[in-house]
Amino acid sequence: MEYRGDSLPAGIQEEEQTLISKLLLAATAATALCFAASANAEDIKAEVIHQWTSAAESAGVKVLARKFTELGGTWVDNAISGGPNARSTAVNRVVGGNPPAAMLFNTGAQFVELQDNGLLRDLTETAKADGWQNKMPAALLNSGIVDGEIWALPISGNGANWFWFNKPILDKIGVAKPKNWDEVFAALDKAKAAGLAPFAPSGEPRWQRLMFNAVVLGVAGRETYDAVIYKRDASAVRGEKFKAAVKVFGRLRDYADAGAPGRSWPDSTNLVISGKALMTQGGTWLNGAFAAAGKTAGTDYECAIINPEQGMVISGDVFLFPEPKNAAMTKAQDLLLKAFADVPTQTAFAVANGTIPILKGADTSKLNPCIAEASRFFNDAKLSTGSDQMMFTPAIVGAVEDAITRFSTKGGLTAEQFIEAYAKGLSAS
Amino acid sequence: MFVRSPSSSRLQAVLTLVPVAFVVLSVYVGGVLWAAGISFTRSSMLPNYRFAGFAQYINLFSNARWQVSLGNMALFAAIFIPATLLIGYSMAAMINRGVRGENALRTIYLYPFAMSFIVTGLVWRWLLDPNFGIADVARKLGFENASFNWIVNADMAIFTIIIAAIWHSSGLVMVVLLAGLRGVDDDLWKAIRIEGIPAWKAHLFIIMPSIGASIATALVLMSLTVVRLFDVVVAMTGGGPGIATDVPAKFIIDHMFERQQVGLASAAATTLLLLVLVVAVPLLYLKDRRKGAAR
Repeated sequence: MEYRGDSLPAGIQEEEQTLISKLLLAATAATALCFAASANAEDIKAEVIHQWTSAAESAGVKVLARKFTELGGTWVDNAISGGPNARSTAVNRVVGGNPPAAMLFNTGAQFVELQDNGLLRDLTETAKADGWQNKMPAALLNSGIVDGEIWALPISGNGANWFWFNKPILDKIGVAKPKNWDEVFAALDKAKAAGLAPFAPSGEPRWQRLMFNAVVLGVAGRETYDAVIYKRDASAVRGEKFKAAVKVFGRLRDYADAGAPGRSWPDSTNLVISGKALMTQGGTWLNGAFAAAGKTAGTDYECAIINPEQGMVISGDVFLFPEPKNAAMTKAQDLLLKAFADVPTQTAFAVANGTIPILKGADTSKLNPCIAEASRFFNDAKLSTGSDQMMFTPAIVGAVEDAITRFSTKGGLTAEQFIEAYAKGLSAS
Repeated sequence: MFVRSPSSSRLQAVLTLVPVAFVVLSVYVGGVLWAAGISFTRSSMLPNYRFAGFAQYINLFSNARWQVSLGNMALFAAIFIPATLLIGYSMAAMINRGVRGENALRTIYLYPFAMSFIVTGLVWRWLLDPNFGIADVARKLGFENASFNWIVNADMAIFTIIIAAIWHSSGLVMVVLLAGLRGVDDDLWKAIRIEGIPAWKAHLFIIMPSIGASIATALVLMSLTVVRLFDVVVAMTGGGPGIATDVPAKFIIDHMFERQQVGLASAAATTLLLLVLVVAVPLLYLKDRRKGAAR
């Protein structure tokens, strides 16, 4: 069941060794070719800028790099810690006329301005030839489409609206895994009565925004959620259903422990892992933290979407390919595209990375139960919808995030003020 | 050709300074002017030159986060600068009396400054954590109702940052002022003793004015800390709870990079520069006049 067991370090080591030996081989071969012919021996070099630096993430990158090397390319790794840092570096390089072959962005509207300025390569033809339409979930692929053309290749997928529970505490207070909001609040009350911290949410503004979206989808429902996120419909924000979601969010906030403001998601998850708190909220990436602590889904912890019939909020990362400077770069990008959209490679990447395999036909038997369940939502168009980051420009994401974090703070905005601030934020630029 | 040596050395000086002047003008002044220009455009992720008038400034000043940021900076300056000067001066005056173990004390006082603001912020963040920090220690010592939750309280969180920053920077002020105090003529101290002037009066009216240059240096260093204030906030509270501890530099960085609002961020940066000039120019002018009077 667990793919992050004891065997993994050895596996990675092995991967590393084969990678190194392959790189050495490739280098030797390249040198030999240079000496032999000195012509047509050009290296297909591709520099890739990304922010995958954690243990699981870099294991994932190695899978991609190995496939690219197998196909005959030379992978030039440029890992920069922190998403915004990696993206600013990549954008500066592109604008400065020295673009990398590929760069990692979050799924969504982050890339639109680069595309608008003609700085990105149009991937429509490659996508048609490779049948991306049939390989990927529509919500994910659509987020990379502008004016009917494809500009981004989805690479990883996550589900964002999950709640995570400490199983021994659930057992102790005699409650089954909650499925709706009434059951959630009943469980929280019982945990509180037992003298435990009921809810340990992450306190950073972006995770508060993530949780708010989970509550909107789970309380106000898919229709309202989609109207707000996809159409930026301010009247839906001012409607009764949204108001009900705001109320539930406010109630959840009142169950949060005193240390929540400003706390990172790993610290919050740790409180649930160590049995100090019953519940936390976060995307499928939390599963990695439980697994790394040696916990097993179902016996040590539980994962649930509250009101699952409304579906899952999906998010993820995409690779962007800057407009190539020369034929060699085009060739390198073609090879990268081939490696990234290869089903077995993609699946191996997702397993190593702890994210959802995004291509259809992936072998899900090696997945942990939580990820397997997320994968089921992910591949069902009726049960998956986009995250705000996919549809909003970064300016709007920022504006609604400010509103949400001010509402999440005791003594901050009232529900009415918050709804107005959120509605106004939808037209930020 | 006959060249007099003074002018040739002057030529040398000019030639040496040309590259520096070029860098200063093109990079610093040029950068400032460019950013000011960008603040009047619609630039979002990439700079563009579509003129927007004062739209970014109107957006900026109707933004609650910016208002909170400015208020926080003012509050921070009003407490942080006097407090570091006072504490720094007290420590310097104490050490200057020739206490035993001066070297050890000096090291201890200066030690916080050897840490980056990020480390300072993280340490204080855990110290003040309502569940695990000092409050928990107090509870375990038997004070069961002890609680100290300023850092998660929107009204008080900014004061925790001020406390951490004072802890961090007072040692630097001490070193600067101690250097000044060491330059005070021994005869002056003798005169003070003979006249029987009380210590506090002597410090306030005789010693402090005679080390004006050191105090001015400390003042400038601390003012710079106020304007640059960023890392300690990011490490301690991330600007929260909510937006309660936001500061202008964090506002600018967030909007410039993560939120792709280059125009708005440039408007904020330009406003910050203007504010600094409004405070700094009269000070420089005053200093110039005093120099002139001394001559």
